[in-house]
Amino acid sequence: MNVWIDIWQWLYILGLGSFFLLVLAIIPLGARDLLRLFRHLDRQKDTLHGKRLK
Amino acid sequence: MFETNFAALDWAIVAIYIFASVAIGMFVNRYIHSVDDFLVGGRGSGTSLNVATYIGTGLGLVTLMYASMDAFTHGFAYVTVAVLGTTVGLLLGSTGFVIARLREMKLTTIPEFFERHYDRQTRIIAGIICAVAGILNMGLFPRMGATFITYATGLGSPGEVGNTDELSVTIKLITTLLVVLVIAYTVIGGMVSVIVTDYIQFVVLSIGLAIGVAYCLLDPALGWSQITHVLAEEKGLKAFNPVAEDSYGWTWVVWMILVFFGAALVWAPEATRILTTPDVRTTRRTFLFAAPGQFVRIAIPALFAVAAFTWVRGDVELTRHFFPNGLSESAEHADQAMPLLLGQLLPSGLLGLLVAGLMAAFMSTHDSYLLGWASIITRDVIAPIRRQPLSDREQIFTTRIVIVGIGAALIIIGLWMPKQESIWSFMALTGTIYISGALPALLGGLYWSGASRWGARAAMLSGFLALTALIPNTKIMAINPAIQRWFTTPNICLATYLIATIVFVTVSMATPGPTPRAQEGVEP
Repeated sequence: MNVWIDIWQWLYILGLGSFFLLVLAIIPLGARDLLRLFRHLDRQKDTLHGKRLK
Repeated sequence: MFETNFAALDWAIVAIYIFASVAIGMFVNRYIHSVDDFLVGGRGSGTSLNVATYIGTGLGLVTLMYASMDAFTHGFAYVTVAVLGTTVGLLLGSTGFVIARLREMKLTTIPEFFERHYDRQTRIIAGIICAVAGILNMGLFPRMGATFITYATGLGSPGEVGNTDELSVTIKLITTLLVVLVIAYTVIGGMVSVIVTDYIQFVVLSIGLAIGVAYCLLDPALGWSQITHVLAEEKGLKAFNPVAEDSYGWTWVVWMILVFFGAALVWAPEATRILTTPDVRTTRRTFLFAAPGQFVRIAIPALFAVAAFTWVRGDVELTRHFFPNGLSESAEHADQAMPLLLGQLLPSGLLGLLVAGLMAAFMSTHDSYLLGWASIITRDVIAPIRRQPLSDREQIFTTRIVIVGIGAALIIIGLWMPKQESIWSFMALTGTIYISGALPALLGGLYWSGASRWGARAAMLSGFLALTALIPNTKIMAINPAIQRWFTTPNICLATYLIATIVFVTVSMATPGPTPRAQEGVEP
């Protein structure tokens, strides 16, 4: 039984630890990606608009 | 017994958060200029954003509810699901198996693959089965959301809430309003809106979960040592080892591996993340970095549930309510345990933040699912049947109409659908209807030159065998009591995967089709 408790304890430490570290990285990097996405969509709009004018 | 710390301040936090989130979701409509923008966010989502939205979609309120329900009875043994999901994510991300090739094909939906590789009819069949299974799968989402709100906020009179499984009219109205809000911003902003709101929801949800975990582990009456000690004492090895006697068993473990593997590749809301990235590298990194999210989405609610078990054991009245047959037996009203614990454990203010996070989870899953199923119905059923290509404008308009239709059906049936003993088993079962046939058809199409369209169609139709798991046990007893012990949901679903694969191979060999079609773009 104790072996199983230890297994779950280490899995939780590893899983939760890596997740919350990931969250710390993803929050600022995700915001950067979001701004890039908006710029990308705006560029696509300009391209589409250009094609229609031609 | 059922009062919680949820106060006016918490309502204010939740309301501000929800309306701000919806307003932002609607605002991004200005970025939608083409059907690609609407359905796959212009394929411009970077790794970090894709990871956030992938986790946001998987970490729904319904996920938290079903994980806590199963873990309340089965303890940490249920967290095996989290380990399997994480392993599948790490394997797919590190090897690029299947996902790299799917991304290279620049698909918009997964059934589109079936037209490129087999033919149009196979795509339509895949689209119909996928949508039916998906909408059935979603049927319990609103009810689970409503149950969480009821018990975390202490809404409804204690007597009414405690003694019946019926939801009050107030709760039904609140849940309906939430679903309507999600429909509104998904209809207006499409995938761009889903990505933006999923990102915000990922941030709020992560903070909320961190607060919940901290409280469970730092509370003097709970803590890791105490909850594992209580669980070991009351339930024994079966609460830790998934293949111990009276626990889940090997059949269930194998079924879960197939469910996670198949869902990542063909289940629309999850598999769409393969298609929204700018390149293959981002797709692989998304799966790799989102793997810890696969663990957390099950492990954290399971931790809440095990903490709730310890909490309940310390109170005679709660023990009688949840475990009338004894603590080692299955729980009654398991859906009430986790929200009730959080509602009573966290102080006002922090509780509002956590509930806002979980409302975020409710919305982030609904938006992805609504868009996922609606785009499949539009692109893989309506457009191919119509035969004439739909213009960008027509595709977006039709998808919006379908989103509203699915949402309305969800509100009507979702709140009235009867409660299931294990929500997770019901969801895995409904997923099996589509995944069991689509998975061999997809893998065969990619890696086996002998795969034929008739094999793919027959395999997909075989998936409906999984529905036999919904036949009540009493009816099976009446037919033949001897087979009752074999007639379990894991056995039937695992058998469905095996049968669908055998049918696919056999029929493909018997009806060799023409050479697979070229892998260029196919206009719907």
